[in-house]
Amino acid sequence: MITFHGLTKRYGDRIAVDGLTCEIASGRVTGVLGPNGAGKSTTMRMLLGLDAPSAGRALIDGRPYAALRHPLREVGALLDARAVHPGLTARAHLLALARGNGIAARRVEEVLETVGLARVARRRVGTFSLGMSQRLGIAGALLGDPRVLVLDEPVNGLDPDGVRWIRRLMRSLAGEGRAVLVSSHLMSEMQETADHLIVLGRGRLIADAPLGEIIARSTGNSVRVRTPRAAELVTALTGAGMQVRWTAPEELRVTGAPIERIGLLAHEAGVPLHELSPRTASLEHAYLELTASSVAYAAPTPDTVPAAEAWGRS
Amino acid sequence: MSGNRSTVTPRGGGLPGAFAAEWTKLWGVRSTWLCVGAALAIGTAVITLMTFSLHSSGQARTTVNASTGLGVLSAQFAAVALASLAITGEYATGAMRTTLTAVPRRGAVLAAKAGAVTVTALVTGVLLGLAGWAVSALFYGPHLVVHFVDLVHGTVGTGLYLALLSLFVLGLGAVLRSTAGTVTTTIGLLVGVPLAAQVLGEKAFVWFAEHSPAGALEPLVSGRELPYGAGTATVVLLVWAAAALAAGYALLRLRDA
Repeated sequence: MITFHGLTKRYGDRIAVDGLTCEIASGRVTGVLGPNGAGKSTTMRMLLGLDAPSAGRALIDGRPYAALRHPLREVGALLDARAVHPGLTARAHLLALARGNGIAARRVEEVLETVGLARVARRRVGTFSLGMSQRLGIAGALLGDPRVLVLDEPVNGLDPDGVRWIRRLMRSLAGEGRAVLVSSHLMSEMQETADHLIVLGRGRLIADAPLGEIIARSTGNSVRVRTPRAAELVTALTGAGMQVRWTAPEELRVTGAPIERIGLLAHEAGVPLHELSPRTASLEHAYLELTASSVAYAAPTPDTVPAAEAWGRS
Repeated sequence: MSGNRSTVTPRGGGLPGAFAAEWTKLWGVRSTWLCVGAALAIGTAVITLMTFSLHSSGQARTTVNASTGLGVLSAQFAAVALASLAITGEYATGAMRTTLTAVPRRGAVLAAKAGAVTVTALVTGVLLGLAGWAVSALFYGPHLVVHFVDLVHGTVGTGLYLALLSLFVLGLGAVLRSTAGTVTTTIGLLVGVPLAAQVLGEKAFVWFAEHSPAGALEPLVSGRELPYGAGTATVVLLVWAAAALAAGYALLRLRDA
């Protein structure tokens, strides 16, 4: 398990990570979301002992990373797939990692097989495509059979097959009881793989909740109603304090009420319904609501999503 | 998840593991082979030229290490490049972050790199010394004066000089984190400082030049006690290496990777 306790990183006046406190549990995939500059990578670098925190701690099973005797057997990390000497062959790179952590050389062949690089093991890493480098980085993370995995943008540069492979891999690693911490800019990717989400904005924790809960809290959730007597229903629903929007002559979008109440009101008003169906918000919608107020480098957008209030521990 | 994790006592790793990792990486890249090859080729070529010129100028006898010093003087830059690349090559490519993730203790990383570079430079120096012996034997045959002490200077002295110089360069590389900066600074120290001392003649500067790494070459390799003996030369180089490594270690601990 990973624990962040008041983790803070300052660069001069700028604060990159601001008092982050949370836990990353085992047995599930925890996604880290946040706009550029939210502090995702800095947090991961501090967790791995690469950057020293200005204050607070990042611990793995209660110990700082630098205190681990065989860190690769406890934590497998992929931060930057290109952070490998381009002159080394894939095998030599992994062999050096294995030797530094007392891992059997046989594991090198195993992980090369797992990530599908066995046939190019003797090629120099400098000749690899980004996708191949990404696979090599994942091979390095899996090398020590660790209980904790930390992956920064693992699907970067992968083709659709690779993306599906990573998705299944992360699910199975979590299924084996490991803690998987993953960051990605791809919302659809997170929605597919994450069980739990940590949302960061300007270095602060905006939300720490299960994926389902974050989506359920979004204002993007609505109910679609089709009825030939829409006008009558609108009167009944708005009278009950719901927000109703026309999306077609005989179609309404209702927010701010559970689907059962809408059905009941329609029944009481004697309005026949052709459809009554829930529309779940996308993670992207929920995420944009969460981070609208905390985008470090925001581009001006014509339709700004309203900032949600009281989102978890902000 | 391996269920036998708790029953298996983890072994390996530590400092020996870190050394094995650095050794694997050092000899996994082409530049190391190139540098060692270049050091041996350039050194042997210069020794051959020098011995040939001595022989044809009519000098009747020579020692096993008479020309080795000039060979080392020319070959040392390849050793400098090797020692620098061992650390600055990783900074240039970002590989240092991967290295520090595998071995988070900064001191262990630097010690392991120092070990790998030292062994390589030592062996290269000894080989160069043996080449010097072979070349002079080739030219002089029975007229070669073989003294054990000269042989030790030519081989072990050369190895020691290159090893300690490499340690200095490694420490400097940890400070500067740039190949160009490290190699340029070292060349300035090895070539520029003695040259400037010669031109200026200023007493304090001459003393400094004599006690710079370049001043330790002749006493170690040729055994000439000028301006000091091999013992003092070793101490001089040790001080330079220790200072650079200490600075490199301090910054490695202090700075974010």
